[in-house]
Parts: sequence; structure tokens; C-alpha cells
Amino acid sequence: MTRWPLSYSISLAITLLAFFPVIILFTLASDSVQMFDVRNLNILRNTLLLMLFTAAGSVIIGVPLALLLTYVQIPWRRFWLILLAAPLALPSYLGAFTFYAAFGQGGEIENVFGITTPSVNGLFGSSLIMTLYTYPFVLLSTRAALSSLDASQVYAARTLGMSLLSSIWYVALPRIRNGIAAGTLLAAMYALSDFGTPAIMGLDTFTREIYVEYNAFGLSQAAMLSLQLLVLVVLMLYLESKFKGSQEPPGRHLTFWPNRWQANLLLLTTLPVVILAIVLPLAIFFLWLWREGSGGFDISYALNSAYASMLAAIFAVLLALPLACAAVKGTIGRIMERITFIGFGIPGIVMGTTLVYAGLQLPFLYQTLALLILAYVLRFLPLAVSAIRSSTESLDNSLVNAARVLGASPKEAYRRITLPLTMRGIVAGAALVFLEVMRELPATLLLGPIEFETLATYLWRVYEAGYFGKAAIPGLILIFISGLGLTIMFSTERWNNVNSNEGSQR
Amino acid sequence: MLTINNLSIKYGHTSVVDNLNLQLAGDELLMLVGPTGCGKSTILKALAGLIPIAQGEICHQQWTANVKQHVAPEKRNVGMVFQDFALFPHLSVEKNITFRLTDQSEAERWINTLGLQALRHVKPSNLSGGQKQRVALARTLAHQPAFILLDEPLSNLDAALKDNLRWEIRAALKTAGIPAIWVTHDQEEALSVGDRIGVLRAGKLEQIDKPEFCYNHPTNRFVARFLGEVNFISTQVILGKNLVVPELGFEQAMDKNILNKCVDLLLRPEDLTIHGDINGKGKILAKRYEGSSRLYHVKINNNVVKVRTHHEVNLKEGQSVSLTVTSTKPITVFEEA
Repeated sequence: MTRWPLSYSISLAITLLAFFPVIILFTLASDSVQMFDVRNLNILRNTLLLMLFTAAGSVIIGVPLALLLTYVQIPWRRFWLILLAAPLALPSYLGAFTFYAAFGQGGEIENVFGITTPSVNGLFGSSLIMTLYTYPFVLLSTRAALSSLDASQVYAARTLGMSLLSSIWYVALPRIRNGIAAGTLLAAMYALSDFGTPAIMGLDTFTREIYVEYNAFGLSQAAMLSLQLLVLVVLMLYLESKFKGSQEPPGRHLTFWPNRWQANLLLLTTLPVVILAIVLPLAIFFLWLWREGSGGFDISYALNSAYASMLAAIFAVLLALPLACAAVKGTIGRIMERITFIGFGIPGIVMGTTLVYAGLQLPFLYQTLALLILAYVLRFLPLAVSAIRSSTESLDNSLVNAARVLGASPKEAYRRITLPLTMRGIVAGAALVFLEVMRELPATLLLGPIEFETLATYLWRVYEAGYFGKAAIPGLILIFISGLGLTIMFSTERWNNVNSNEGSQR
Repeated sequence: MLTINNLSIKYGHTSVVDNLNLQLAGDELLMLVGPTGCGKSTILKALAGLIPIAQGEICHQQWTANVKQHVAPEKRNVGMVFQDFALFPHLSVEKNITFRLTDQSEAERWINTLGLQALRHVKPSNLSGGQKQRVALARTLAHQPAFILLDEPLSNLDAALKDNLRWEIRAALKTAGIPAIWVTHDQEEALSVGDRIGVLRAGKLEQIDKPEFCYNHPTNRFVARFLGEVNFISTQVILGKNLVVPELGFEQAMDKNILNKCVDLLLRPEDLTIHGDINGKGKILAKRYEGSSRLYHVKINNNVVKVRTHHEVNLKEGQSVSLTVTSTKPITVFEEA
């Protein structure tokens, strides 16, 4: 009974595979002539500033919105919650693309309204876009922390003579610091590893520079930059792990009932965020659609995206099943599961670089769909594992035991009990991987087979060529797909937890 | 017949069950009772083959499991009713009951016997606690196991429901004629439905016997206390081989000579009666109304004695009283702690 389970053996193989890109990166970087130069310093400064401004911006927007959406009884609260969390599901490069096209001289705003607006680019532009698409990390993590905060502490402070605002400031906020920090670090990590936004905004960050080096055939230099970026990512991941799991057990939370005009005023303050992050990109894409029609869009791009995404989702789930099984079984399994999370921390551009090198060493893989799928699977495997693991964890062990004592073999118990009861997690995991792959840009740019154009890479080519109007259909399809992703995200366990807290407070 | 010889179970290096021996045969219903964490549920899991054992063996006509030879749960022909019912949430009541059945007649029999006809197509999430318990029992019985293990089957139910269900479960087990081990932490449940009860403490079986015998003649103070409220009245008044306690108007022939030693008498609160008596040696310290009865705390000599009376006997706190032993059964005596 105490033998090494089969799921451990399979998981060990997957764990080694997940570690593979890091090994390649070290091998490749060792050929680099230069480890660090003055140019690197500039890249490092830009990257760190972008990260810092994004983190600060997402706290400034995310925390007040979390307070509003948790404590204040506004009409259509759930609708506002979904709307204000929606930017999380949109890839920020779509925002960057539309901002780039809308603002500045000759931009779409000037074309339509005749008003000249300043350009949005560089560090300011990148930070603005990143903030607009990452503040929901802070909003959601803060809201989760606020939901579990017992209102009686605030009531106690008030009975001891504190004003409402002081009691929130001195009693509530210090207790949700970890929640805010966790969300902020996720936002910072996104800023660190995103490629599309700084590339479109013309800001020299690690990701953009890696792409430049790659195009200049400086694979070793790209690997060295990737390693330096990875150090920052690992640091962020370490900090993020420190701030997790500090939530308090759910309690009855504060509720404020504003009158109608107060509620409208509060909602009005959220409008700039909604307009900039959601309405503007939609409006620009619809404008292009109206002006240029389909713009020579070939449906095969969407089909290619869907085909690659489907394959990645299937393989990710197949690998995630034994990993999730092992993670639930014991400590060694959990460690192996955590190691596969490396892939999620490796920015797409870095994953692309390492697998391009792997492809060069193994020519039968070079520029094949298989290598691209491998990159997707390694990057997004944690999404499938998390979804499947949480549904497996929530499965009551006594159900399997009951099946066994009724005479079912372990295989039969898995087929008849475990599998149907974790199917929801399996489907959610597959869907999350599918949707992430549909939107993935940097690894696809580097690894996509010749003439294998996807929605994201087509959008990128259109941007590079300056034919913005052609971006309408792929842009709208990507927004629609992001909406689907949001729906799944809202139905996953984390979201259910927030809602169950809400339920207990009614 | 199920025989357990020298069974020990460990979690890591911690011993959870130590050297357990017992037998189960016919249609006997054995209650295993003990405080939380004493190893009751662990014993059931080991009997079902869900956890490994550290020592000893479990024997049945068709198989023997020991440290070297583990028998998988599905090979043991055992039935188990779980604390949380463990009904498969994606299957209807009927499909739960017929989970691995080829012969549907047994399922029909228990669906009818336990009154589940109207619930055949209902999913477990739509059942009440009592209904879930009936379905879990029907599922177990329909698979015709060689013996049944019930792990605190009533602990998740309301008090009112428990009382009826415990009789229903006993009746169903007796109808099926299958021996069963029923684990509970509720001593009242154990005393009322079991043919025999085994009292566990920290993984050890302290006593196993008929409920009445365990209640009236516990082997030690732990068993005495665990099975109900109890007075240990210390006394030294011994004449010859007779035990005499004058202040309780009590005299009893002893089967062993404990002449001139300090002893504790075991008296349950209902073994005594209380009378208002101006010259009585006792004094009421406190009283508690319990609905059908009243419980008095009476100080007499150096003992505080609990006495339970009918609720209509209503004396005042501070009142002088005398106590009398009314029980006719032999009183258990422990040498003084």
C-alpha cells in the first residue's frame, strides 16, 4: 500500500520536462559574450520603472474599487464587478494597439472628433496600459481579503470612538495588506513578462530587447537577457508566495447603503477606467470594421488559432491529470506540481527563445507545430493543473472509499466516481488553456511554423505593417474570446469562494 | 465469523490502535464507543482495508489480512456506512443503491423496506439528512456484504431524527441477519441499540460486554464515567465481609475480603433516593431541572453525591436531607484512587 504511486512516476517525467527550458537557457546563455553592459542598465531601469508604476497604478485603482464593490450596496453590483474585472481577461497588447492608433497626431480620435490628443507611448503609455489591464488582480485579491474580514472589528473600533473612515484605515486596511500585496505582485509580474505592450509602445524592456536580439540572430544574448529577466520573475514569485494564504476565516462584512445619487456618483468615478480599458478598444475595432470591412481577413487564421489551442488544451489536460492526482496524494506530489509552475513564470518570449534553440538542436522539431504546442503546454500547464487539482481536492475521499468497499477496483472507482466528479475541473482547465493559447503572442511569433498565422500573430503583422484597419476582425474575435475566458474564470472555485462568502453574509 | 487478533494500527510512529482482539458472529450488533480520537473510526478503516495495519491479523471465512498480506477493500465483501453518507452526488438514489449490483431484487427489497420508493430518481443533494442515511444503509445492505461497518452513522443528524433512525437501522440489520460493528461517541446510543458494547480509550479496548453489564459493572473508573453520570463515594466502614455505609442505609456482602481498606463505591445518581429530613446528614448544595427529572448535588460527610429524582420531587437548596440506596443490584467497589 505504501508503494510509489504510478501518478508520481508520470509526474516526475513531466516535472523534468518542465525544467527543460531552464536548463536550455543556462546552456545557451553560457555562450553569450557579454553578461551585462550599459545598454542592459537602461533596459533594467525601464523594466523596473514599468513594474513600479504598474504596481502603484493598480493599487490606486484596484483598492478603492474593491472597497466599493465589497462594502457598498450599489445597484447591479454583480454586473459592475464583472465589468470592472473584465480587463483582466483582455490581453494588454490589444489595449496598447488601440491606444497607439487612437491617440496622437493623426490618431483615430483626431480623425473622428477633430481633437488632437497627445501620443500615448513610451514609459508613460506602457505604464498606463499595464495599469488598466492589471488593476483587476489587485481588485480581486483585495476584495477576497475584504470579504473574509469580520465587520465586528470595525464596529468595535467605532464603539471605542473612531470615525468610520479612521476605523477602516486603522483596523480594516492593515488586515488586508497581504491581499493587496498579493494582487500587486501579480500585476508587477505581468508588467515584467509582457511583451506586446512595451513593444507596441516603443519602450525598451527585457521582453522587447529579447525579441530584437532574436531577430538579429543573437540567440545567446537573448538567452542571457532572458536569464536576467527570469531572476526578476523568480524574485517576484518568491515574494508572491510569501503573501499567499494569509486570509482570515470568513466573517460578516460591512455593508453601506448609499442613496441613489450617492450610488450614481460612486459609479461615475469608475467610468474613466471602463471607458479606457474596455470601451475604447471596442470602439476603435468597430470603427475599423465599419470603415474597412473584413480587410482581407482570412478565416484560416482563426482556425489555426483554434486548432493549436485545442491541441494544447488536450495535451495540457492529459499531463495535468496525473500531476493533479499526485499533488493530492502527498508532499512529494505537491512539490512536483509546484515545479511545473515554473512554466507559468517563464515569460512567453523567454519560452520561445529556449525552444527555438531546442528546435535548432533537434531539426526534426524546428518550426513544427509540435514544438509550438510544447511551448504552450509548458507555459499553461499550471492553469490546467490548478483547475483539476482543486476539483480533485474538493472530492470527498469517502466517496472513493465507498466505491471500493462496494467492490469497485481502483480503476473502476476512478472511472465511475473520480472522473465524472472532477469533469468540471477538467473542462475548466482545458478551456482556460485553450483561451490563453488563443491570445498568446510572443512564443507564437518565435515558434510558429512558416505560414502558420494565428489571430495574435496576424494582429502583430498588421501592427508592424501599419495596416491598422485590418486588425478589426481578429481584434474583435480576441475580445470575444477574452469574454469567454472571463466567464470561465468567474465560474472557477476562487470565484465561487468569494460568492459563498457573500452568500453567508446575506 | 470475523475475528480480529492482536490488531495494532499506527499513523507514522504514533500508535492509534493497540493490540485489539474481538470476534463478531451471527447477526450481532457490536457498538464500539469511546471519546473523540480514541481510534474507533481507524479500526473500521482497517477492517475495510482502507488503511494498512501495523500488527496482528483480521480473519474472515474467505480471507485473512495481516501486515504482509493486504486484502484490497473490494476483495473483502464488506459493507460500510460512512459518517457523511458518501452518496455519489452524480448518481440518483436508485443508481447509488444498485452501484455494483447484477441482481436488482436486493435493491428493490431495501428500497421498499426503507421507504425509498418515491426517491428513486432523486439526486442525493435533494435529500434530507435522514433520507441520505436510509439510502446509504440501503446501498450497503443491497450489496449483501459479509459484515457491515457503520462509522458514526447518526452524528450528522438532528437529535429528534437520531432516536427514530437508530431503531430503524438496528431493525434493518437484524432483518438482513448480517453482523455489524457500529462506531459512536454517544454512550446513550451505544447502550440502547447494541447487543454488546466495546469501550475504547486511546486505542485500547477497556471493556467489551453486554450494555447493562458494562453500565453496572464497569471494569474501571474511565468506563464508569464514560457510560454515564456516576458517584464515587469513598468510605472505610467495613465490618467483616459486609460492606456497610450507615449514612446511606446501605449494607452489602462482599465477594472478596477488603477488610479495613478505603474503598470507593460506584453509585449512579438514579441508584439513590433523597428525602427531606431535618436530622439528615446531607445538605443540598445545588439542584438542576432536567425536564422529566431533577438532579441534586448533596454534600454528605466528605462526599458530594449526585442524586436524580422524578421532577416532581422539588426540594430546596440548603435543605437537610437523607439519602438511601434503592438499587437492589450488587454495588461495584473500586479500591480508593
